[in-house]
Amino acid sequence: MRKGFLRRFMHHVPALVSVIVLLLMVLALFLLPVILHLDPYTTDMLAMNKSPRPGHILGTDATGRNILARLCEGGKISLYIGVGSALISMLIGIPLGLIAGGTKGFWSSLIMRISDMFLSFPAMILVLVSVAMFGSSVSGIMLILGILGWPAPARLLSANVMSEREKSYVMSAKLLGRSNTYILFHCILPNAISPLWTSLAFRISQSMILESGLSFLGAGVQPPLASWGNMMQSATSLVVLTTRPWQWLPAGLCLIVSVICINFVGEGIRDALDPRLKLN
Amino acid sequence: MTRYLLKRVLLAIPIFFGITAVVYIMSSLAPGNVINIMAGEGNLTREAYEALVLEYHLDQPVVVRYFLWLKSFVAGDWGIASSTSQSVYTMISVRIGSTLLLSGTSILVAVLFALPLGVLSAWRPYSVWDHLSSVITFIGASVPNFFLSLLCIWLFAVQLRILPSQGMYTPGVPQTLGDLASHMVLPVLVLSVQLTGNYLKQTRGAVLEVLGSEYIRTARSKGITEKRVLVRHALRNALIPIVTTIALNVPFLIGGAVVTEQVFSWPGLGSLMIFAIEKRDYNLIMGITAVIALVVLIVNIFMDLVYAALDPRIRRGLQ
Repeated sequence: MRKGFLRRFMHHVPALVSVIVLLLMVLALFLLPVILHLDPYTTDMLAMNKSPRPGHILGTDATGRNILARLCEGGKISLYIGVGSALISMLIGIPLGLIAGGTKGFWSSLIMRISDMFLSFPAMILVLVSVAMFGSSVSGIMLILGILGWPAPARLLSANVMSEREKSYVMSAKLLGRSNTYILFHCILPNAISPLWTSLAFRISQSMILESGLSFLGAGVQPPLASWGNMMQSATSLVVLTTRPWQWLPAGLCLIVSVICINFVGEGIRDALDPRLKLN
Repeated sequence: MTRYLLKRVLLAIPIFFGITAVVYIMSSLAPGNVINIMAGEGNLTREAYEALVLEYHLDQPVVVRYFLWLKSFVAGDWGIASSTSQSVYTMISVRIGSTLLLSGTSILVAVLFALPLGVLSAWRPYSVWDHLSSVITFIGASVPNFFLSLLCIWLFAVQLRILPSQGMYTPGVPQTLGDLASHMVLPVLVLSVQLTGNYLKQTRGAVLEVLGSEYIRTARSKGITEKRVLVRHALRNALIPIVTTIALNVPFLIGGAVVTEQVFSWPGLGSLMIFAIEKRDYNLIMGITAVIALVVLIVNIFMDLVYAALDPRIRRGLQ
């Protein structure tokens, strides 16, 4: 992290607001069910499809489960999948990006070709097929999204490493007699890695959108587990869509708010890391 | 030029093999026995079961089976869909038209909006146009398309009752062009909002970069009208990254509009893929995958042709 990063980040108003909103949201996801004694799996046979009322602040779903409780549970699962799969993508993408950018030859071009292949094929189709084949447990979905998400960070890192490699400080390190491995890890990597923080934020929001789409189709997180995506699935029925907005609207709004906030944080990190970008 | 094209084609072909091989191997790794899934467990005599094993080459290793599949695919034999007992080729060819119609229209609408607006917002940063395009970019990147679809259905089909929200034609009425067009409005709207956001970002960035260059100053100092500077000098040189983005979207729309097709019951390849996966119909899954991979291949080659047309340096092999 460069000097002054935090100060510049604090001056990026949307990013700062987003961090606060995200923190409040995570706190609410974990604390609300405990404070209000809510359980996402308890069905209340006397209160099915009820609109918001005392006791069920956001109403109930078709089996009488508390929407607020499911919203919190679904949020935890959606965030868990988003953050976990983004970390997995980084874990795979960073070493591969280093090899692709730092070396020349067979392995480098093989990695580039394979990432071309993954980037040019619709991710949703690959995700759908793999989830159908390997099962749709929460950690399974996280793993699949993580594994399929590696090309973006790998491409970013390799492009950065390649442009850093041409700079004069690398030449001077070479003249000092440093080995290639030393130069790659101690000189180039620290200078090339900072844009990956932004990439991490965008991978999280992308995975959350993919997961919600998958669950919306019924192929992702399976009931009785909740996710913001599968809560919106009920809205495919016209009756629910028009007469019971409390069953699907909150999940959609939560998803959009968190995706917007995560994207803003990513932009804030990018602008704070490289003030020159903002001047352009 | 011929050499350039040949080189690009040779580089693009492995993508087709790679994608189909990945999906083939993944489906063969799936737990459960293919024959039992197709015929239902315990419905077969031992002899019939063994005949099927031989027919589907299940006694062979997966790599051999992939090449057998590839051979018959190239020969035009795409197999029979186990879920409907129809030929895979027929099922796909019935659907591919509607998918191409939907995705083609969406891309066209998005380009028609994004190019002028993107150039305008790069020309006058922080103007009304620029703010408008930031808002569209933001919606496109942050609002999941199924949520946007639900809102559109709720507003236009339920509250205002001005547009249909399901299928391609109204059932029971003679199929007319106007009917088709009204069914297309909502899915095209949803898909093109997302695309427009994407293209706007690219156009604005690329034009902004070009506008800062020396030759634009030269062009302006020669007294050329601003419109001509923007269109002939700036946009033309900014087109390569824009074309790349557009081209990369085509395969995503062919296969990736899964969610939108499903929400609007659009009879395209995306919803067919969902059906195939639900029924564990391996021939159909492979057929659709291969068609999408073919589209990826064709688009890649087409993109290289456009590059060559746009940039004489590429055409003459200088880059």
